[in-house]
Amino acid sequence: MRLMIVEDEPLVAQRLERLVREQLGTALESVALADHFEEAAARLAEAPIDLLLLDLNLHGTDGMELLRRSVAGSFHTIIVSANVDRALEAFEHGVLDFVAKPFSRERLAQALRRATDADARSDYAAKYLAVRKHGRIELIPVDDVLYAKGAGAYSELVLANGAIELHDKTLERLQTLLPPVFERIHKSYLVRMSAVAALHAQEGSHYEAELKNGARLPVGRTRYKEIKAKLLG
Amino acid sequence: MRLPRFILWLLLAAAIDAPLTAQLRWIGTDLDERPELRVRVGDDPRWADPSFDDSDWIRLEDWQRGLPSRTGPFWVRIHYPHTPMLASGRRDAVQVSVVAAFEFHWNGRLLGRNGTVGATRQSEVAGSIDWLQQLPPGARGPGPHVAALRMSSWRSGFPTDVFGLNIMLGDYRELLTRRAQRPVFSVLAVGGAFAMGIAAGLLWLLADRRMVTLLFAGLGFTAATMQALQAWRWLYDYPYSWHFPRLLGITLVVAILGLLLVAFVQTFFDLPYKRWRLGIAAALMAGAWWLSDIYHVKSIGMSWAAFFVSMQGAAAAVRAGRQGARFVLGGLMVGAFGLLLSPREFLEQSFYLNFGTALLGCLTALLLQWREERRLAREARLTSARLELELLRKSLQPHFLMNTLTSLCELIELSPSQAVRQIEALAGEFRLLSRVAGERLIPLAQELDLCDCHLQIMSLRQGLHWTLERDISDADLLVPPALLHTLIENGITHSRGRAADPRFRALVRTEGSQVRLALTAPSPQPPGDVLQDVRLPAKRAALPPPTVEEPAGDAGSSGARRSVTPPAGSGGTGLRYIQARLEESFPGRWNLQAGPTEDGRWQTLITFPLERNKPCV
Repeated sequence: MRLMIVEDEPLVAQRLERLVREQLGTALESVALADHFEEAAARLAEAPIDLLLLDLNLHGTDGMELLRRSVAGSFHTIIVSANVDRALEAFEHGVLDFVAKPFSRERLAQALRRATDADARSDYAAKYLAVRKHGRIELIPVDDVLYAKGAGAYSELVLANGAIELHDKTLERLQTLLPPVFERIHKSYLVRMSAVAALHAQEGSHYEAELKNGARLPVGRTRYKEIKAKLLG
Repeated sequence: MRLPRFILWLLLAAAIDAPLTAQLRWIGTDLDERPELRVRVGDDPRWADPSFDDSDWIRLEDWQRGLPSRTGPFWVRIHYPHTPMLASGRRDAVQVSVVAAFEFHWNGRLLGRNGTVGATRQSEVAGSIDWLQQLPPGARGPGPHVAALRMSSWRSGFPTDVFGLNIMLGDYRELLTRRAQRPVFSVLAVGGAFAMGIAAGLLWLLADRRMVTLLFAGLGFTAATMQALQAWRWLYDYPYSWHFPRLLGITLVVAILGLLLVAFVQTFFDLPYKRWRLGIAAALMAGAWWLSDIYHVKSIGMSWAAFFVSMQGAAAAVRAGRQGARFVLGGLMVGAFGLLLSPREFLEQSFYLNFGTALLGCLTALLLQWREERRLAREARLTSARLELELLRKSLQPHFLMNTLTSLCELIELSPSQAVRQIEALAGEFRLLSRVAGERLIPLAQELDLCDCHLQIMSLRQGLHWTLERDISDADLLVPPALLHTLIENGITHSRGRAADPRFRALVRTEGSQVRLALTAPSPQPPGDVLQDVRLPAKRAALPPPTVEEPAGDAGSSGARRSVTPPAGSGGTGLRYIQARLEESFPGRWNLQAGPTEDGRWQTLITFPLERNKPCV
């Protein structure tokens, strides 16, 4: 795992680095430290990371702008903040976790586990997904998303109105942040189950999910039983 | 209140006042015809005889001024022509008011005496000022009748050499009743004005030691005194020798009342030219004094002078937009209107109504002022409570407290001795903040201690060595709590961890009765992370660059206040706190400016009045 810590308090940054090294051990590939966001943004452009630990109130600024920039990235974001007022808002934008200062070892470990655990979900599902468009950040309401299709290092978000947006995160990472109504029906598809009208089994062990708008998406063989049970039960 | 509505109210008040004042007019019931009056100095019993020929006697045209003062005995004969009313018996009493002792003869018969007529002052005994006598049955008849009075006026105190006579023929019961009714309004006025005076006097004594309150009490007592003097004649009979002192007293009291009214108006509204206005009022009153020999005319003239000058003052206050001025002016105008309608009655019958309205206007203005003061006091208390709360909340602010505790976690594990120092500094800051939060002003030395604690904490947190250099002329002077602390917090935040030279410098000087405080902070760093590329109703506007304010001529002299744009980023709430604290303790007498220095550092300059702690004895 490649990590970046964006924290303006040197002692706190130091503590985060120490505890992260303690917790992840050899799984930790690299740790980068930055105390200003523009510095961090520059480093991010050069070398991608898997996880960002971000303080929202860097040098007294309001961190929501930084937050939106961060959640648009390919990496998971964990907020480490002194002020817990905006925790819910942060979760709605799609952060993996929100750790209040001062934090215990256990709490930080719990947050880090969410990043490494395949089945983990964030405490509160995202309401918006941040996409980069024309050099700007746009927030797509999750309620508009019908399904997401994995496309290598990023995901295609297919909206109810038919539009397609590109999000920088992998489908796995997206699944962690989205509400449970989204199910991984296929290695490359994450679908809103309430939009599924029917499941079809075809010859040659091909399974398809038919959405209410008529679209048909493949369902993985191994997942078919599970999906069917969830749909009917 | 707008002008048209004000005029409407005034017209309404005048419309109510006019008929009431007219009603109160004291109508004398003189006879329809004017009888003849003749006077002769000397003494002869035959002059009582109705058939005596007095054609060579001096005939008096003006009943008010014709009889000789301080002389006697002399005789007055009045010829009443044919009067059918007397025949029907309806008019059967005679009322005489004159400043003389006399014997009353009706058609040659002695009807009664009032006092003892004398040839010298010593031999005369003064009679009552008012004398009422029934006509005996035999004295009535169609007429003609002759009334003859043998008089002496040695004890008349009036400076004029001549005086007047007032004779009324009327129904006995009616004359008695009217005499009883006459003082009613005056007595009412005494009660009302006296009560008002007592109330205002107690207020002055116990709660509100201001000149206006005392003047208002004075107005009440003086008005009561004046009306008591008026009522005296009708309630308690007095010898005619008291008439002059009474009228003189009434006139003087009216003068005092008028001057008090002028003084009240100009003190209440704090008008300029106080001495001039009072002087003009006094001069006009002196003019009114010389205007006439008749004392009630003097009093009316003085009342006019008082109203005129007071209305000028009230009008000036209205023009200046002073609160309550419209009510005072309105009340005065109604009072003056009443004086205009019936001047004679103003002093007695309609005094309560008309002057009372003027006083009511003054009272309304006073009450409005008291209400305003209470509102301001309540707001000030609320403001103080809010500021105290804000200051206490500072210490609990998550950004400060949680970050400090988190860094403490690290220090405890890695550098326990530093952790202990940090905890001590934190305790120091908490202790000081909770102690000073409830104060409006604290000694500068305490403020510096607070800053030192904070700088120590921030130094350990940031790994920088923050210092506060000080050049203080007087550490004893008082400053609002957390004044420097807030500026230092701002300065550290704006340095964004990149301060090349982490030093603050505090320069405090006293200049006469003013304090000049300058705090220089390291250069503020540009935020750099102003992101313009996020699309959602982001409410962030482009931040203005730091502004430089030209220093005011002599800062803080006339309460000139500059609001200052802090360097980009934040600090708005901090500056608002400082401004609120300065306004709390030195309303309108402080000044704050901020801007870059030549070497790029950021300086905040504050001036405010000098206050020191009272020395402990």
